[in-house]
Amino acid sequence: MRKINGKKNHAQLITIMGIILAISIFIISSLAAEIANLDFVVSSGESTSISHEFKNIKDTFVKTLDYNLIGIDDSEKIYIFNDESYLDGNIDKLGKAFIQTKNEYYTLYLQHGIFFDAHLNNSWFSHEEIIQGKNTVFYRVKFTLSLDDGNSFITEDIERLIICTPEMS
Amino acid sequence: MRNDEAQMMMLEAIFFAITVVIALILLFQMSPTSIQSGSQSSNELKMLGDNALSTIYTETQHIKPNVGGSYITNNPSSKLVVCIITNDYTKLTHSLNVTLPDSVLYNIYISNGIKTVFWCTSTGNTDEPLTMLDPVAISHHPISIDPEHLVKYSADVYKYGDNSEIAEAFLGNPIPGNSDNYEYKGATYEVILEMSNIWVS
Repeated sequence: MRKINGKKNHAQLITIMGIILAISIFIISSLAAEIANLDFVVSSGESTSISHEFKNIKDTFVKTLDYNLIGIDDSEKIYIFNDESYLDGNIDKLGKAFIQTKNEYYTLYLQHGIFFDAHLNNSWFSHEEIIQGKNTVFYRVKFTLSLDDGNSFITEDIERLIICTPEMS
Repeated sequence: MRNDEAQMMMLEAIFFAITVVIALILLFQMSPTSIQSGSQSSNELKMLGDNALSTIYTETQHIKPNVGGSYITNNPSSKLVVCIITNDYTKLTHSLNVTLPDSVLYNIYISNGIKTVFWCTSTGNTDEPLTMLDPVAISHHPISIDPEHLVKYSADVYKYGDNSEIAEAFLGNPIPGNSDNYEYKGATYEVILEMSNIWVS
């Protein structure tokens, strides 16, 4: 076929080169799209990771604070109210218990390359009520939790209720 | 102009070679992937592990201490925490095995950020951890444990002993000046899940 007229080879050459060029562009664009997609998946995973960690901390931090407050001094009876039960603790030791809890979480998350920070902002008298035949005083405690993995940063103010017997506050 | 023929043959050879390569790639992509579909990448595995731990943490389970036992405040209500405190390896591994794919093997560790101890494997073995094969993924979930809950419940609360298995590892029996005898007074721990796939090639 090609030997019938050598000049016709030009058209064939141009056609085949055009096809090769088109296929090359197709392959390169496919590879580029795949690489771009891979990059998106990784960054997406990282961004959800820290929010997941933060949610876990929010779920457990207050509970740990409760336990540490009891552990510091259980000789005095002050009741901290949460969804489930009453706890014994000392409101005067709240600052100390908070720092202890913060340090524990800081150590825990540092091993995962995540920087944890917490600040006790305020605690104030809320109101007074009779609960289970006892006169109880309500306090509110407000603190800030922060999480930083170098790429993402999350912070949130959290508020919770504390009640205690007035004669022991 | 005669050289055109050699060029033509070269270009045709390249064209058909590319066609064959593309055909092979398409054939490979269209082939069944049932064996590999049971396997997850490290990121997927971590997400599965995170979700499994979160699910078990939010599930409710209560400890019913002996009526005659000492007064203990604020009993835990998280299934994950209760299993750790009461040495209930079977219940925790069963919950994880239900949540995670069948092909996933795992080791469970408990840590306070300074010290990490092995707890059990996915098969319920408490003697030594499994050797993990790539890809390995690590999931972790913080938990709060009152130190009193590790030792002060009545004996029937704890499976396999009179106290929690992790009590000795973290609370210890400290001797002043001896750093090997380590006492942890905090309430912050985490459950670490080290996971890997069984890869069938």
